[in-house]
Amino acid sequence: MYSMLIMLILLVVAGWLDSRLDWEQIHQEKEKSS
Amino acid sequence: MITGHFGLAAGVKKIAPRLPLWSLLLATFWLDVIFTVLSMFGLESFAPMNPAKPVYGEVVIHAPYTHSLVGALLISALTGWLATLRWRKEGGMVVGAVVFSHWILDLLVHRPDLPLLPGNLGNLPLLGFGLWEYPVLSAIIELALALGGAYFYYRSTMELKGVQRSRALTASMVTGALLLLLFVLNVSGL
Repeated sequence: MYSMLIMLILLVVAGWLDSRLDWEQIHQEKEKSS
Repeated sequence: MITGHFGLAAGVKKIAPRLPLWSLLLATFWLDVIFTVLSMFGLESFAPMNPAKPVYGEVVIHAPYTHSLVGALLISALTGWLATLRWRKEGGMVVGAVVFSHWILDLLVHRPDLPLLPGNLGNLPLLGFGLWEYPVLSAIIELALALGGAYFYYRSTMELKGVQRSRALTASMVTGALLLLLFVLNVSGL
């Protein structure tokens, strides 16, 4: 039960924090270096 | 293997940075989401061996559709195709692979209860290497996946600078902490 709650929190909170990052820039840097 | 699934999803950001983390977290758990829906209709089920005192890995799982090899492949392919509509072919392939990774990790830990064909057609031998019979080993692998996933997630943000850098640190630490908390709760049978 508690695990389910933490899973939902992980999905929402980590997902939100992740969405604030500029992943397009990371992708461009990755493309340049490869 | 709940934490292991999520840890792997976080680590995939290293190879697919443009896919949002929520999509990978959801993809890694997608078979269980459909499993939950089918459970509501009595088609699949999940129960602790000792309901009075749930113990890590001691569960009876009856999931002949979502967790059959062919069923998991079909769900992965369909989900991957749907993901291509939003994240193009490359993103769709990653999402499909992450959905299927759930079955691979379950194959490691489940006792032999994973059928080859949906509905266990033909009564073929059931699959599962049964690592849950060795809970310490199983927990170590799961913890490694969680920590590894958090680490690779952090590593994938190394190019960011300034405000983005501090946001990346926060995101990595919170994701890592939640994965650890999930691991502790899962291993404690809570």
